[in-house]
Amino acid sequence: MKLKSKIFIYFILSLIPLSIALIILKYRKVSIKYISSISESLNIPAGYFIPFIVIVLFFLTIIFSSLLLKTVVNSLLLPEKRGDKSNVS
Amino acid sequence: MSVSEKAREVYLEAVREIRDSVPKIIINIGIAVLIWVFTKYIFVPISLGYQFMGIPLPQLISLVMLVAVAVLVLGIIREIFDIIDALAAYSAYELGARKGEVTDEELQNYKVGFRGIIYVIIIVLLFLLFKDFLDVFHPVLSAIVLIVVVLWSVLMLLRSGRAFSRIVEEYANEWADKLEERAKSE
Repeated sequence: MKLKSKIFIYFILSLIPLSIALIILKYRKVSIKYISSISESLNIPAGYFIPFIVIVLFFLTIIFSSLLLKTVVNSLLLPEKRGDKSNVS
Repeated sequence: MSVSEKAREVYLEAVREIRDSVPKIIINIGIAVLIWVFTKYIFVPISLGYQFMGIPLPQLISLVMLVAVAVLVLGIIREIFDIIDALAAYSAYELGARKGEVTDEELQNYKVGFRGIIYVIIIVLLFLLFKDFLDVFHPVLSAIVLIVVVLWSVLMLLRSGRAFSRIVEEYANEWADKLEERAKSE
């Protein structure tokens, strides 16, 4: 996978859970109401569903933003290694 | 191997080590700060008032964050150990009593001196980073940790101060020897 597309994919994947979390933070009441209605339609108690959603968003944000940062810093600080790899391929 | 050859090797190894470790440290610090910011300003406020399997969600998220950051910090500290040793070797080579020559004792003094100062800075920064999350568990916990940090920092700074004073002593001896030689030749 090309470096630019890799960075773009990680950026989008980290932005999606982060923006959902920010929306929940900003419009807490409305979003909790929506999540509760989704959990009712799925027949899952809201007391379990909301914390589960928060934990999943937390892990997704952390994992993808870490991968994004790692890829960006590696591409900026280790240009020699990158050059070697592209020469080999 | 002569002293200057050994010093040159130590110097080259130090430069290689710095080049290798700095990107890894930047990545790990960046990830740790990112996790800390997201947890403190987004996920802990969201999770306030909720429980997961009987455990309050803010505490659970703080615990996950602490574990993740602790793992990253271990990686950072391992790299910093290498950098401190490299920095000490570089300083001994550049600033040593005899420029371009490094004795084992001199190198050891530089290592102890640098290690003490950098360890204290790292531990203080870590305490500032984790303080709020320790408060989430129990307010007394951060106070106890602070007392331990202060005592340990004093001991470490004393140790590195002694190491630097040995270096200064060596400098002074070298300078006195030079003066004595000059006086004899005149």
